[in-house]
Amino acid sequence: MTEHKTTKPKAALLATPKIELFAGIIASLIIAMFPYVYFANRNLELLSASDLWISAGMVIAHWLMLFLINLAILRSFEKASFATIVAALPLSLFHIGLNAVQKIMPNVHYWHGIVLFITVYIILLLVIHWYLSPNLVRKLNLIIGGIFLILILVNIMPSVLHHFRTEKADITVGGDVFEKVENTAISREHYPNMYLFIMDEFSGQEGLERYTGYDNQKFYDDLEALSFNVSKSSRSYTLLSRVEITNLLNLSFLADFFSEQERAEALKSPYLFTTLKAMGYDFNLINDQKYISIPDSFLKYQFVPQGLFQREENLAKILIEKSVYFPIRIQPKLDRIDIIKAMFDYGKKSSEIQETKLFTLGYFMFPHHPWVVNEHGAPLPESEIKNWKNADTYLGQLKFANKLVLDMVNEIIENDPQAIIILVGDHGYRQAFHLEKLYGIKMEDPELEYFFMRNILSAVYFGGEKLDIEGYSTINVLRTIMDELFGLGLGLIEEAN
Amino acid sequence: MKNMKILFVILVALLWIALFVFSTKIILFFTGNTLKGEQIDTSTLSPDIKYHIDRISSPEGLLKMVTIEGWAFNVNYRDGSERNVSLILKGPALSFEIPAKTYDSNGIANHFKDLKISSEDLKFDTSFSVLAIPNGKYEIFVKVWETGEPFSMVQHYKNYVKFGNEFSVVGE
Repeated sequence: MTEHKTTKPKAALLATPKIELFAGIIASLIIAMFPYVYFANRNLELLSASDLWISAGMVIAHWLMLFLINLAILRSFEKASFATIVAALPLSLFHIGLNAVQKIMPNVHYWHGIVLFITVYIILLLVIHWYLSPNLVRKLNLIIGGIFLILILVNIMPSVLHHFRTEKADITVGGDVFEKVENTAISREHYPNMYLFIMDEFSGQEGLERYTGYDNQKFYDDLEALSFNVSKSSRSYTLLSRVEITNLLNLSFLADFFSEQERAEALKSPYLFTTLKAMGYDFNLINDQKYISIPDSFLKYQFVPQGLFQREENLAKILIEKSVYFPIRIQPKLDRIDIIKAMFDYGKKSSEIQETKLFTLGYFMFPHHPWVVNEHGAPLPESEIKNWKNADTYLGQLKFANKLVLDMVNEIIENDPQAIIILVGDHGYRQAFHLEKLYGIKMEDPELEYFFMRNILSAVYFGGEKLDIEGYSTINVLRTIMDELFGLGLGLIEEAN
Repeated sequence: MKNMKILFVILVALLWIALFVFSTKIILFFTGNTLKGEQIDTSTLSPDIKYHIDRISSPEGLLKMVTIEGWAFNVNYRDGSERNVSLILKGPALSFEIPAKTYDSNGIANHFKDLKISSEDLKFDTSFSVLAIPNGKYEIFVKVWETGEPFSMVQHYKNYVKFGNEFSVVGE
């Protein structure tokens, strides 16, 4: 019997530590990925598939770099895994920790945190190297990895369940567009240039009065003086930009929520684009934050005003801002102001690109936060960048947006008086929603607040002619224009009331 | 030998504490943001200075930099002279002089065409780290001069308070 016990196959003896070794390395990766999973899960509605892939690649590269440094120092896979486990979270959540400490001790700065981290890290490396046995380290790796795996599963489970419970959207787009286009009798030579400017978070008159007490009548008067047709009671269907914009580019209300795959599918060949393409239109895109993911094959011209790390709402940016690397994201707010001005300038110049048949789609994450300017265009303090509590912060940026919009459309009309210019918000000012989400301030009547938060800017310059759009959603505004221009007979869909 | 080891550990610990405590000063030094406190006589003010401070920003970034922009000149400037501007922050104990970069401005020269002032070096901007000055109430003086000539100064009508990482108008 004794002999039998000692003759355990050699391969099995070797295999067990190898599996544990590998599991330890995976455990360190799981812990490095935890902030990614946590923040991705909480911002899922705002993220695109490319965001998720790029950020995952960034986190894995960071983990690999840490692991290789630790391996070079400790020359042991299990100890390097443990050292990576110990270092990954403090590095990933460094800024959160620093902010917490600064609330108590304002004289503690970034460099203090760095010195402390390096000191503790060196001491830990020495302890791991001298005092911890490989066997103990292997066990610790597995225990900590297991705990974080459970935390990750707990985090993602509600989203996964929600995904399977939600009905799939019917994304049959395109329809008989080509037949309709062939049947239209209008001469293709005279199709006017079209401009669709989507201003993120640009509230309509009703929502603005409710949440800021401001009467934006002067802005509407100025638009009407330029022969715009305005609607003060238009509403979006949802409060989510990604959903609203995907729907409106397909001229249909396809879904309340899209999965990433569904949204990507719906934007592969959006109905509005395929229809206009069949009419012989070229496309020009102003793509703030590279938010619009229409395939480049549609586009003849494109203006992307910022690189990946300058964008405001992507996961990579969120993760960097929470981490020890947050200083690379610090940049003067003037950069954002310059970017905004550059986009409006490009909008003006779009009226000089082609005389006819150019469709310009401009997505401006403005007056959406970051709130960086007051009504005079002067910079705001950093504390106001995402201050949902102070409605005046939003209002100041909206008033500045009024000026930029008027300036832009004025020049476009001068250069291109036959143009069709559509100015819309994708949703209104969502203060009530964010006060509840961020600060737990409950809405007394959520349905009523959603009604006002969905009130949007809606104004159309139709070659200087009258067009009744009062109360129309942006989808119905676009359908009306398409019918008026091309006689497609699209008709209206149910309103967003 | 054992005593030497203990001494070494104590020395390393003391060095670490010194580095930690003075790290802000070290960072300010290496980034060129150290400000030298001195006694500056601000009792003589000139009525001949025209100036405007367009913007004093909130402290921004890791070093909590405050940017100040505006324009300033002495009505007695000679044509073609090299002009300079600096700002003086006068605190409870010491004052800090911050040199500014100057720019030409036809707009300001045109606005003051009656004074026949030429457009050179009328606008200015500068920045400083609030970490480089002690807490307290600060008066701001704008100092202007032509190179090789005596300076003149004027006091800004707003006073500021530096507290922690903040730099804000007194009373706000």
